[in-house]
Formats: sequence, structure tokens, C-alpha cells
Amino acid sequence: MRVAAEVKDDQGRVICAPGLELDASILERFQRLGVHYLVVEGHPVNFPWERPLEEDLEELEKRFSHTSDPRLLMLKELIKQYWQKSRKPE
Amino acid sequence: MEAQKREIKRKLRQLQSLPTLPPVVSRLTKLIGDENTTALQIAEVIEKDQVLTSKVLKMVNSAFYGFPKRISTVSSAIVLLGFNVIRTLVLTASIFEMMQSEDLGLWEHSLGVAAASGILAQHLELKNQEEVATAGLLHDLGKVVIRAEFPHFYKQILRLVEQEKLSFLEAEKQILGMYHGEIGEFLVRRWNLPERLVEPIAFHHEVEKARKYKKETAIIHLADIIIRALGYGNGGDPWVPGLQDKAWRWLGLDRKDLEELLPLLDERLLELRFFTLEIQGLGFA
Repeated sequence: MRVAAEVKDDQGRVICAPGLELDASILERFQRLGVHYLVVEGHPVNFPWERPLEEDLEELEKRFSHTSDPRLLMLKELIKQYWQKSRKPE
Repeated sequence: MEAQKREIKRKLRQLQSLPTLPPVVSRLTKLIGDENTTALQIAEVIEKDQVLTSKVLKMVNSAFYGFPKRISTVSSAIVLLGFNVIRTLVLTASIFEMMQSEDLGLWEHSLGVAAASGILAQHLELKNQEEVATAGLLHDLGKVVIRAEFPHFYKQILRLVEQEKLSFLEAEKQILGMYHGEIGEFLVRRWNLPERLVEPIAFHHEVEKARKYKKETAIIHLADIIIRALGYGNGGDPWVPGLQDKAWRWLGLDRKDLEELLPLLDERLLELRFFTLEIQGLGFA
């Protein structure tokens, strides 16, 4: 699993650049340095609040079911594209 | 309906179950009104109350303001966010606490709108970006009041949303003859919050009524839409609210802007999920 964005400690100092391959000892060191979270490549972790992409897309359609405003439909398309791109499995 | 509105306003003047304002607020208001007051003097007043200090620092360090560095003292928070934001956070600390425990969905929605408002304000290079984020945080204050003070009406509103498929806003107007923006406005005017916060809270569903802070109001309007569109938290009904032409025109955004903003917002929202878990005393460890 690789780091996808700069990792910062709790003082906002960058302690690692993107691209680093993670292992247990690095994660432990990050924790000691006060790192609260990090972003990794791909979508290897499912958070408790996450649903499968198909379900989220279905809900997205429902939320927009009351509108035909082209600007809002553009927003819906952008969200859809963003999710499809960012949640593609590695 | 007019009689009902008068009755609601009368009751708002004598709020019972909403947490009362901490006494420290009146001292702060006095201090902030004096132009010779320093950040340090204000910090001293807040820091006398440890619980309040920790609440304020928690909010200041949360992702919706997006400061890269942890802020550990009230005086640096004042320098970074300004008197008005800190005073508002002190003022509303107990209300947020109530939201966290009683309406987590609305709490998450408010945090999300705060984050989106801050990002939009930054993108549009507005001054006082932290105040815009704070207005986002407070924009649905009226809903908290309806729930706490008028539980009977609140249930009727939810029933209308559920059964008639009305938006929360339409249902409020039908049941109360007024809506959460007006109720929020009534309250924040009584608290003497600055107009830059009042207008977005009052008019985020009627942007054309904004006089001095049109862009700020339009930002909260759009931030609300984006957060509802993403399905983050719960704003009272499951639908994306309508976009008002004036708001869209005032902001002058296009497809490319929104495309750029979505990943930034997504990252902030992820941090906010962790923040919410943290304040609930939950975590992944």
C-alpha cells in the first residue's frame, strides 16, 4: 500500500512525500509522530459509513429526483464522475 | 398563521430548553466592543473556563477551518480566526453539544456546509473566510431551535416530509408559517452576532434578500446544495434544494470550478468523519 499524498504530523509539518510503501513499522512511527490520518493510493479501505459505489450512485439519483435544473444535473454528473474515478479499485 | 408566527417569536424570547448563554459571553461582548482590547485579554477571559477552552480549541482545530497546524492556545486562535469567530464559537458551544448528542445527522450536515463554505470562500478569494465557514456551521441553527423548543411542530414537519414528500423547508412553511432561516435570524440578532453571519443564516434559502453580504449568503446557499448532493449528514429531507439564479450569478462559478473543488471537499469531509467519531468518543483504534 502506497502513500498518495503528503503525510503531516500534528504540527502540520510534512514528514513524508507521496509514493512511500507502507509497512507496520512505518505506520507505528507515524503514530508516534502524531499523524492522525493518511491518504493511500487506490481504495483499499472501506470505512464504516461507506456503501458500495452502486448503492451510492443510486442514492445520488434519488437525491436529485426533484430537480431538472441543468446546473444541478451538472453537479450530479461531476459527483458521479468523481466517485467513479476516485473509488475505482487499485 | 400570523398569530402562530407571533406566538413562536414570543416563545423564542423566553427560550427554555436551549442552553442559556454562558456568562462569559457578555464579558466577551464588552471586551470585543472596546477597540483597545488585545487578543491576549480576550484569551484570558475564555481560558478561565477550561471546559469552554477545550471546546473552542476542538472546533478551531477541526477540518472545516482547514488550518494545517494544530492551534493549541486561545490567543493564537483569536489571531488566526478573529474575534468574531471565537466569540461565535463560545456563544454556540453548548448548542453544538446538544446537536452532537441529539441530532448527529444535522451536526454532520452543518460541519459539511462549514467546510464547503470555507473552500468556496477561499476559491473566490473572499476576505474573512473563517467567518464564512462559521456562518456555514450555524446556517441551520433555526432547525435546532424548532426541534428543541417546538417538538410537536417538529414532528408534524417530519411527518409532512415523509408522507407528502415535501422538502423540510416547504413543510416548515406549511406548519409554522415561517422557516428555520427566520428563526435562526431572530436568535442571532438577539445575540448581536455580526451582520456578516446574520445574513447568510437568515437568507440562505432566499438569497435575493441579502443586502450587504450577497456573496457570503450565496456561498452558504451553494454549500448547502453541494453537501446535500453528496449525501453528507442529514439536512431534514433527502433531496437537493433548488439552486437560486441570483446565487449562481453572484458566485460566477462554472463546471471547471466545481470539478476542482470536489476533491478538496472530499478530503475535508473525510477528516470531519474522524472528527465526529473523535468527539463522540469513538475511534478506529
